[in-house]
Amino acid sequence: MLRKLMKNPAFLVGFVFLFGMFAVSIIYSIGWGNEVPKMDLLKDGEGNFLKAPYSPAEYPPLGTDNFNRNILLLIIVGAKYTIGAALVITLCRVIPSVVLGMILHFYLKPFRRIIDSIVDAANYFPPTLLSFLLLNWIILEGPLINPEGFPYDFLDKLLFYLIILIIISIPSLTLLFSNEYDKIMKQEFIDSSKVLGASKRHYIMNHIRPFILPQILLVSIREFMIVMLLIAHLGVLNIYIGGSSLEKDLFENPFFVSLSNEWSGLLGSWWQFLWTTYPWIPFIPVFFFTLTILSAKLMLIGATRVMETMGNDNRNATVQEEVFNSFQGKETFELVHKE
Amino acid sequence: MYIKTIGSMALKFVFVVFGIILLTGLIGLFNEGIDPSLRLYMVNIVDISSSLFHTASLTITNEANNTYPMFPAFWEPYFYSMSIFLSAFLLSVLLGILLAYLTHLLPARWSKFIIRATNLLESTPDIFILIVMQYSVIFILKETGVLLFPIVGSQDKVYFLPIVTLSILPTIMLFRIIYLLVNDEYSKPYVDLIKSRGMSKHSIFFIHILRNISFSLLNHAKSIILFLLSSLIVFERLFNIYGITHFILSFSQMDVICFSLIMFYLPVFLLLILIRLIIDRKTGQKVVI
Repeated sequence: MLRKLMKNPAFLVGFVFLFGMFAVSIIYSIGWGNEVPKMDLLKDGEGNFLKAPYSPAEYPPLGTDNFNRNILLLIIVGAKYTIGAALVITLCRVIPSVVLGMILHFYLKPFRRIIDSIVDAANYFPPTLLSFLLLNWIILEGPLINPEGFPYDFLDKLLFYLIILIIISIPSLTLLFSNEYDKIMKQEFIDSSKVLGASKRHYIMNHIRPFILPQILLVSIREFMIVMLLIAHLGVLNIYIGGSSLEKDLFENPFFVSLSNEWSGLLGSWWQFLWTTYPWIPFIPVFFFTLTILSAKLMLIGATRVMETMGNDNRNATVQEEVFNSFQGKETFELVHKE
Repeated sequence: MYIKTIGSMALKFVFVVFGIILLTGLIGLFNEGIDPSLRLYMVNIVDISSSLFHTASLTITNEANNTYPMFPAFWEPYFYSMSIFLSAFLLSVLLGILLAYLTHLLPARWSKFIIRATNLLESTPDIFILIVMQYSVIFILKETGVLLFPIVGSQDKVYFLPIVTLSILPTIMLFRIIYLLVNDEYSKPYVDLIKSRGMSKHSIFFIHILRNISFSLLNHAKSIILFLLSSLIVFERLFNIYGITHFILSFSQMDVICFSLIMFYLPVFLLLILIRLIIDRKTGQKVVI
């Protein structure tokens, strides 16, 4: 399956961009470290000093920001934190949900209706708002109001950020996988195994596994896109990965700076430049977020297409239906037809 | 039959409210330091529930530690957000149907291409759309000196630009869903029958097809609503809209959050019920929401 995926152009393009960005970032930090140097003042052709921040035309390729740092290097340094965090969050969301969904399906059947309804409530609590409210104190307010007595350092804040973003979507993902198992277990061949006395282990290894593996890939890619968007949204609300510090920029304005220079920090703190004479600055992180999300989408399109063409068994029917049903979100719906 | 339906929907509402209370109780554990103790969680939940029973005496506390009653201050941002949210939703449903109809009229090769192209487009992050829209307004202002719409809603309320910007992505999503559903519907035998009886394309689409897909459409509408809700928070922040998000963020006490979210859920819930009843009456299909 992996080789077929790599032959699909859409999947390949998305994959190359995503992991290329990630690899460049890691190679850069191994070779040159994480520091982004501040630029010296630039002169124009006639020897006059130019005013910072510089535009992409004055200082190619992407110009400098309000601390006169090279934006291209900032983006490269930040890429590994942003994409890395999104990857970690995605994996830690999906893998436990696969197992928890199984437990829910096999052992907690009687409570399904209640669990369904309560988890549905989480859908009306927008994840952006929920994670903001949970993270607000430790990432933003705590260090701001009481910098001396604040007991947590960068690593604590980073871990906390990851844990919160993982936990908030585990219930709905668990439900998604559980619904998936329901669908598989309703197939006709399951009945024949039941008659032959199959054990739970047998169902899981022989019947569920071949169906669920491609699903896991698709769900993971979709989840990655959701997480990237959530990270960007939190950046807008000034919640940066690993927290921020207050510094004075070139214009002597106090300014939230992300400690790791990851993209959501750049996005959140640069947005205000849209209204100034430097409107290109906020476009850069938004653009990179967009590229990342779109390349994940390309991977999703490629993977879906590969799975559709793989064999003419029942499998592709499930895959197609799933993709269409759980469009953009994680909820599948119970349909009750008229009797 | 109606009593049973209403009963199950009321139960659903109670469950969702309960879930919101449970989640809000969680926020209290991380409000001033991290204290994940079960005892505190229980206390929080009891506190929130009891203040929900006495909504009239809810208070808000501002940064200077002054406490005011929550009403009537709550209603203005609430209705402002609600009107933006609901208009964006209705606009995207109408536009989605219209676009699907127009695409349907196109030759099959073209519409297939459009559907493929929008597949990528629908995943564009909302912040990208937002920055492009905001910048275009600024750009037009700089070039021509004409402020098309007030961008930043500090004093007077802006409606047009936020609603349009907010509805772009849901429109694309709904357009795709509707188009795919319509295509499915056209492959059914009854369409051939009414075609052979000489019904016009126009009335086949708007009378028969649309009615028959409304059931599946409602199922998808819910995920669109959730998407809109998430986007709304970021939009309110970046358009500087003094709406419900602003209210929640500036007075983030648990009972205020909980009450605001329940109030936000209420119209969504009513809207879904209304659509459900209409579909029930028109097509006889029952939707679980």
